[in-house]
Amino acid sequence: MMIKRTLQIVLLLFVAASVSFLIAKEYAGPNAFRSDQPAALESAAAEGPDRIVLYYFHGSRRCHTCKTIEAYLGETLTTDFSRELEDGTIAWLPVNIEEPQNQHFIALFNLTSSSAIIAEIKKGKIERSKNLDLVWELVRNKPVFMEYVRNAMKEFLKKEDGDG
Amino acid sequence: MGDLLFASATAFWLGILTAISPCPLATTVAAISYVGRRAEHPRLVLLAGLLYSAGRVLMYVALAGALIGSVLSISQISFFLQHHLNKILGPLLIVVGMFLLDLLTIRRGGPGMSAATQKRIERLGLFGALPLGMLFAVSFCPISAVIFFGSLIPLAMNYQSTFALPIFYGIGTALPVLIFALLLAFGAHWIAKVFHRISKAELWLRRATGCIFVGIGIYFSIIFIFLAR
Repeated sequence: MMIKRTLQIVLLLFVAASVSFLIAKEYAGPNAFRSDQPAALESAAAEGPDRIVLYYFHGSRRCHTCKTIEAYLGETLTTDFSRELEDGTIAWLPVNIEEPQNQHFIALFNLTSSSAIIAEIKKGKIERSKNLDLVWELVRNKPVFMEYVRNAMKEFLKKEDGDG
Repeated sequence: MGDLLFASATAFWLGILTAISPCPLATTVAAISYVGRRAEHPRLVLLAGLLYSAGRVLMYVALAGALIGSVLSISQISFFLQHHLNKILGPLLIVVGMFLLDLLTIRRGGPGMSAATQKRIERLGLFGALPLGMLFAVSFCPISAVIFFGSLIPLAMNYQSTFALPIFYGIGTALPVLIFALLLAFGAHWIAKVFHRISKAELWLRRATGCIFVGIGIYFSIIFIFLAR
């Protein structure tokens, strides 16, 4: 009887603490999912040079597959595009989409979940972009995944050369 | 016609992919334990399994209808559900688990509750599988959001199918729970017989389900509320 009572109190306290913490967090921070926040990256890009950015948008909840996708994307860039990363032609940018200053990306790129996006930034504006929507399907096959990202990046770089 | 058949099969397959992906695993375990807790009554297990599946199907049809037939932003809805639903899931599962463990009870008319009232509450517990399915259906995680919002909804839009494709998808997502319920109801009558022999089996199954609910609820609360930024 004593154990039951203790368990009851502990669990109810845990539920109350969870709910209070949740409410406090929701009200303390800026409202979730507003897309009118200042475009942090766009303003950052405006200050920087023109470049191609590989974004990886993720939420605060990092599932195992999400982490693997991020790791493979980073590895592809450091393996195959190290020179471009160094000279600033390419930038690698994992972004937490749930942070208020990043939520404008949801509407900007029409995101529905964690996504990899290649975008060309010219004069601080996103000129064109491509959603690498096969990353979820290919993540179980690392070489194929990396080849897919590599080819997409090369294609994007080629078009940029063509434009220039 | 052939096209729609192919699309339906694709929707069903997308549902299976959702069901077997690792991130909804915790809710699937919770659902299986909830559905299977009356293992000594195979018919009730089957009914609970069907209700759970119906709950999922209903929610996907409603969501697809709302998204296809209106100007609601798929992106905003997807992230809203991923962000908020998982957060309420933790405390809610703990409370349901506490009811299953008899740590919380609904008192009607004092301690001398009539047998009829007890039966009514039990039945209510069985029908709880329906809202459970509805809730779990919309508690999207990154993978299930990619599959539903990124693949199923565009497919349903393409075929202007607000019913058929989400129904097949919903059945696919409920497949592990459905198979479990069907196995218990038809293929494994001996399990029921064993349970009949073991006295208090129902009580222990209910306690196990309660523990699973409380455990998953605590896990979700820690991950989505306390640790989430």
